[in-house]
Amino acid sequence: MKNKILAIFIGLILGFFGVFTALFLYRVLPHGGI
Amino acid sequence: MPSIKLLLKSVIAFTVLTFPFILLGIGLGSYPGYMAYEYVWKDARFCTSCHVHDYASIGFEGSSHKDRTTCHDCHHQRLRDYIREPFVLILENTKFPKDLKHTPNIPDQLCQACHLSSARDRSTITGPLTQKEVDEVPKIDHTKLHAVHLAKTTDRPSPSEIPLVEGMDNPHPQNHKLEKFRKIDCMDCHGGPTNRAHQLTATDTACLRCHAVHNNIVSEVGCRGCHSSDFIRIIDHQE
Repeated sequence: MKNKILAIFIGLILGFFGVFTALFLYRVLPHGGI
Repeated sequence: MPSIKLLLKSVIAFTVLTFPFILLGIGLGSYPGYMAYEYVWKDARFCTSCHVHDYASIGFEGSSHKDRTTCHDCHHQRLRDYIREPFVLILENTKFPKDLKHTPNIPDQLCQACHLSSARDRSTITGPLTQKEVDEVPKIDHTKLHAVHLAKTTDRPSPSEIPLVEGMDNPHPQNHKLEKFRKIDCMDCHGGPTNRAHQLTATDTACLRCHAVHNNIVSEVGCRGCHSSDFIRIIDHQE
C-alpha cells in the first residue's frame, strides 16, 4: 500500500512539472527566450 | 559500486511494479501543471506578486492594451534570465528606481506583431485575442503619417539609450546624434522617459527630437493638435 501511495505521489510530481515544463519550453524555445 | 547497482535495480523494480499507479499520478498531476502554466503565463497577478509597480499598473489599467494583451506579450527575456531572475531578486535586492538605468528597449517586432499588416512573426502573441481579432487591430502602415515615419531614417539615438536619470530632466535631448542614420522605430515616439509606466501615447517632446522647425507654435498649441489625425486615419487607397 505504501508503495502504491508513493508511486502516485511520484506520478503527481512528474505530471505536474512535466506538463508545466513542456508547455513552458514549447512557448519559449522556438524564440530562444520570450 | 554494488550499492549503486542495487539502488538502480530497486528503482527499476519499483517502477515496473507500480507503473499503473505512476501513470495515475501523472494523469492527476497534469491538470494542475496545465493550470499553473496558464497562471504563470497569462495572469498578471503572477507577475505583480513580485513586480510592485503602482504607476505601471495604474497606467496599464487605463490603457487600450488592458484585457487585450498579457505581460508576456511585450516583456520578453532570454531563457537564461528566467533562471537568473529569482537569484537576482533574492541576492542582489534591486531597488526601484536607482537600479533601473535605462528605459526598456521594446523591439519593433513586438509592436508589429499586432500593429503591422505584414508582421513577420505573430507566434509570440499569447494574449486573449484570437487571430481574427489581431487581424482587425488597425494597422499603422495603413495610416498616412505612421507610414511616412516607418520609411524614414534618423540620426538620433534610440530613447532606450538615453540614461534614465538624464532622460527625466531632458526626455529627448537634441544634441545626441549618431554617426550613422538608422531606421525610425516604434520606440522613437512611443518609448523613452516620457512614456514610462505603460504610458505609450506619443508625446509632443518626441516630435521635437527631429522636428524643431516650429518650436514657438508647438509651445502654444502642441504638435498633436494638428497632426494626430493623420497618424490614426486609415489611408483610403482611392485618394
